[in-house]
Amino acid sequence: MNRLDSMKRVMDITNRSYISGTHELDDIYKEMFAFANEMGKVKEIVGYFFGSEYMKDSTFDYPNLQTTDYYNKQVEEVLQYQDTLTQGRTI
Amino acid sequence: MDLLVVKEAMSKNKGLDQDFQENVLELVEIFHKTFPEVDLKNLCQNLKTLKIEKTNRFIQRLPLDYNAKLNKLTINPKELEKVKDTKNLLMNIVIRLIATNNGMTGFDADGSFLALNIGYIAGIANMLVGNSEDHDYYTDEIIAANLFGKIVGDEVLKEAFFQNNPSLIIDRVNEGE
Repeated sequence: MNRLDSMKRVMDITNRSYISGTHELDDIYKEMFAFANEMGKVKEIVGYFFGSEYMKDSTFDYPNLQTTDYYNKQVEEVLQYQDTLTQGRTI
Repeated sequence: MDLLVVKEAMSKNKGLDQDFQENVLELVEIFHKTFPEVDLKNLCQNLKTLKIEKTNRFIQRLPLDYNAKLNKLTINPKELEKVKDTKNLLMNIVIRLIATNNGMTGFDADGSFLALNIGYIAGIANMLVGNSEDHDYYTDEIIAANLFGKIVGDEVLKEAFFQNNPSLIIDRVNEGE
């Protein structure tokens, strides 16, 4: 799969979730992780999860947490979580 | 662009009452303080010919909706009565009016970015005026838009949105492929 295919999957599932109102957020996360992998941006996505309460209310305010030990620990945990999400998928 | 130009544009539309004009102007001022670089010429153009129509829940489930192709705002009065935070709702509409050019809103050219467009608009509205609703209509879409912003870059999304140019997103994704 390449970057554009991966992005298309994100778009398709997000649009379907929006139009049908089925709130397929878990599936959107999975595709986002795959897309982040393609773009080499997994850490940014992990950062999003870590700061999601901030991000929900703001597109631009993003806490600068990259230097903290706590952040690094979160990265490790979410990367493990990502492995379970993408298991069995062809990326 | 001076906000007086926006006021003047609205005054040319007999279909917009005084309350609506004042509310829109207040929200445009808030928007303009945060995004002074965003051109308001689309907004002025759209406000001059904006049509407002009432509808019911059989036609439209949302309290307010904007059809960019027809430049028409439809209001569902019964649903609107239930809304606690009408300021946030109207800010959503103002952002759409600012980002709509020739019937295209933001980076949603052909429906492929539909949900992300909705999430992006709702995210900006929340950022500008907050949101005191118990239930956010577009929580999933906001989360998805923010995740996407982390991958391709917030600046890319912003530029693509206000320039009605989804190819900026595609180009960013293609970089380094």
